[in-house]
Amino acid sequence: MEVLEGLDLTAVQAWVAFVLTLMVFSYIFGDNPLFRLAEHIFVGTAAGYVAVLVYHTVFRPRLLEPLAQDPAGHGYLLVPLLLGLLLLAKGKRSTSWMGNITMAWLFGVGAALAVGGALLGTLASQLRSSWISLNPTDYAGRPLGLINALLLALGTIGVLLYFYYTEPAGKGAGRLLAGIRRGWGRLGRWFMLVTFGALFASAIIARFTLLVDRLHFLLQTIGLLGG
Amino acid sequence: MIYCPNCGTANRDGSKFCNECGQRLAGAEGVRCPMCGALNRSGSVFCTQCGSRLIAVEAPAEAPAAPPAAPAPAGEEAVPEWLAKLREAAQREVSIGEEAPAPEQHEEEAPAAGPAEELPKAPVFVIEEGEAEWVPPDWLSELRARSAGAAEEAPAAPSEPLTEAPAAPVFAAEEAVSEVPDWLQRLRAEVTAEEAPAPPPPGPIRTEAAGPSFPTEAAPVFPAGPEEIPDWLKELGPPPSEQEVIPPAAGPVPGLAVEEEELPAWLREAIGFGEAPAEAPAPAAEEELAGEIPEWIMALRPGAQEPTIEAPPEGYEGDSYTEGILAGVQGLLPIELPMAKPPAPEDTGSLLESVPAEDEAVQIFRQVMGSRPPARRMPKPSRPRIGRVRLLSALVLIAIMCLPLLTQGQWFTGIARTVPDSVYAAYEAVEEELAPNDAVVVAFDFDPSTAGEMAPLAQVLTEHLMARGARVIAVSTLPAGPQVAQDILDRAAAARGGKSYGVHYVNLGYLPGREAGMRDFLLNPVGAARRDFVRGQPAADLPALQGLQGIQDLKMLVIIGASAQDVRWWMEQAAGLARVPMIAGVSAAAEPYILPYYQGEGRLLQGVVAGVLGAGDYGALSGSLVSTARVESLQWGLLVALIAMLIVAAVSVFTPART
Repeated sequence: MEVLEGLDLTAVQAWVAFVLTLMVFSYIFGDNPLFRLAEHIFVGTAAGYVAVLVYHTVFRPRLLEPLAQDPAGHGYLLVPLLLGLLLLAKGKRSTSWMGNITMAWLFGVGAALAVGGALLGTLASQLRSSWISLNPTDYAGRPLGLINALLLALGTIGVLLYFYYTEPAGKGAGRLLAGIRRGWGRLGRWFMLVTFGALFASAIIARFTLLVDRLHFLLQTIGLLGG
Repeated sequence: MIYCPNCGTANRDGSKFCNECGQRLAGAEGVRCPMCGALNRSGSVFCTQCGSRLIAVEAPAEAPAAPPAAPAPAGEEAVPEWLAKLREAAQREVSIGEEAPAPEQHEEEAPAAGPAEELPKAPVFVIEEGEAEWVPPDWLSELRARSAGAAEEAPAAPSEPLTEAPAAPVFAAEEAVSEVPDWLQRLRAEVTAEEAPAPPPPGPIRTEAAGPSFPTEAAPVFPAGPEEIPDWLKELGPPPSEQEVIPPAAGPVPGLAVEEEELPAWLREAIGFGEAPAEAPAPAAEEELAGEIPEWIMALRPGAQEPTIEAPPEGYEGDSYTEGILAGVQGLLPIELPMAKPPAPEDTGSLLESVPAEDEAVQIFRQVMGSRPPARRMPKPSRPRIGRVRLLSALVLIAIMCLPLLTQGQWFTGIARTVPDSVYAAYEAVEEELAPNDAVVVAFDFDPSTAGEMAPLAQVLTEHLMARGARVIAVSTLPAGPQVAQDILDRAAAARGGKSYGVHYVNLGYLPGREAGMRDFLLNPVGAARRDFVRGQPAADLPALQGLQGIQDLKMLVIIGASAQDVRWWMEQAAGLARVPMIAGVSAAAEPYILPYYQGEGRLLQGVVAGVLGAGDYGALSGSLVSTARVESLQWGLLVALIAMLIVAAVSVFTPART
């Protein structure tokens, strides 16, 4: 440790990060050992970090210390401990069924929380947002609001019609309605294409931001940028 | 019994085909051992049961010339006494059996054979009355003829009618195997061995010195050593109850009153006549023995000379006869021992007839089974080719994105943009909702992999919160999130000044359990966190958490997440518990998913700040210092990417599709 005392660890960390960044960037030439090495280092480091963190933030303060200090008062902690130990039985086929108890508990609680939150926080608000007025008088002075409402209605119904596969048999009005449905469905398909394009563009912006951050770091490390 | 090699079914002896599956049985084609009667595979040289030789060693050339000492017919004087006793014992055995009637009933019929009548104790076939038309089997006729032809001194030997004189014990060829009991087969082979020195009888087994000479494989086979004496021969001796059993090494077998001089040394040794001679007999003794022992036995003796190959007969050149009545006859087929000759296969022509369709199927089957699949060369995995266009595009993009960073905005200025409503609303919410010392929970749900985008965003929000004097309580639902959060908190505190850890801001670290952990924390922040991330102090002791009992005590929830899922979970859990103001800082990739929560009815979110661009806008509003060079670099990079995609799209539209 005496050797490390006179060493500027910040500079070492920066250069290690610099080299690892270049190793990752080498993927532009295709898959290569340098990229693989950097990938394995990241995965291994992350796994080790998570293991230590979970011990210090979960096992020790939430399980071991309470049981050591007041076993009788924290006897209920044996239940999650037992459930956690049952997960280890998943490693062997003959005993994996025991782990299903814990898995059932996890999935049950998770599904209950997710459904409850989604109903109140997402589904209800989305339904309310879709229930809009198309009366122009309600958008007096706000023409963009009216256009937005029209596009929202056209897109929502069009997407729903696009996934309506049943073809009604009939003539006259039925045939006309079927034609309208198909046409509106095609419009809904275009709405989906535009939506997916916007999502993809957002993802590109996020990745470009990360690229800028790495370029900034590289230039800063080699001294081309100040501060 | 013969066991089928295909299905294992037990078949009667002599069966040629399995009565269960029709498989040709090996026993039908095998060679029956003349000594023990065991069936051996065709072509076997030695018996698998007793080790007897099944194919005779070729006798010396002078052997066919009937030696004067050889007895002509099977008479008493030609049979050693010990052999006669053997026959007598065998006869007693037969008299007990069911298959063979008592020989005494037919002794009157047998003496017509002359010398053969001197062998009353030998087993004979019984001819019942009323079976006068019974046709003797071939082997019996053959033996009778042989006996007649071989005995020069006894030309009057019966040659034809069997009913008149079934001369001696009859030993047949293998055609009669099924008609003769096993003991008779064994004795037959034994007697046949004695008759071998006699002039060969007419028939296929005759070997003549002149004329077409055949390899002398017709000689019967007998054991060549004492260890090869079969069990049946031992059993033929007097029963132990009647005679005193004496070990073989102690001397001659009492039950066999045989003179020691009558037997060769090896045979004496085999049956227990004293010590075996240490050395091979002298030539003189050899000649003396030759007069007593048939030539074929001499040939089987240990140390006997190797069989010689006879010269081709006179008039035989190449592979055919050139003169005589056999002129033009090609090939010399070796004569086979009748017992070793397998029975002629049955005519199965009708069974083997096939139709053309079956022949074609057989051909196809042979082709399929015989042909090997063609070696298919697996395509060698080629390394992805790095196209020049791809590499050039990457270099151009990187260069253009680096220029704003290098010039610090001198050559490339940012593209003018208006602050989005969502960003402004977030700023307004912080300004209006928060008062000094209000508790604000900030969820840092991103890790180092997305910190390049999320860190500026989180920093401007945190600085603004600290600027408002709020108590910032940081948590994260990602394991790697707390460390990133701590770096941002420290920078924000340093930027605003006068902020101390534990009092104005605190990091409670990692919350396990995702939705459950979020809900647990919102219901009881102090109990769920327990300790802080930096110092490990109990959460209840931290001044920043004083008075915080639950979500009702929170003034605002700031969710900074790279994933829309994490942000949505926070919103959904918080909305189900209480109506608390929430703003979100999200990645640009998550913006389309989160923005409806701000724009829609109900408006769960008071404002949304997305990406670096949103961070720049928010920083401009709050007075936080955000690197404009990064924003400009991102803008120029996006512009280049947009132009590149338009070019590629145009090229793809105007380029004819490959067929």
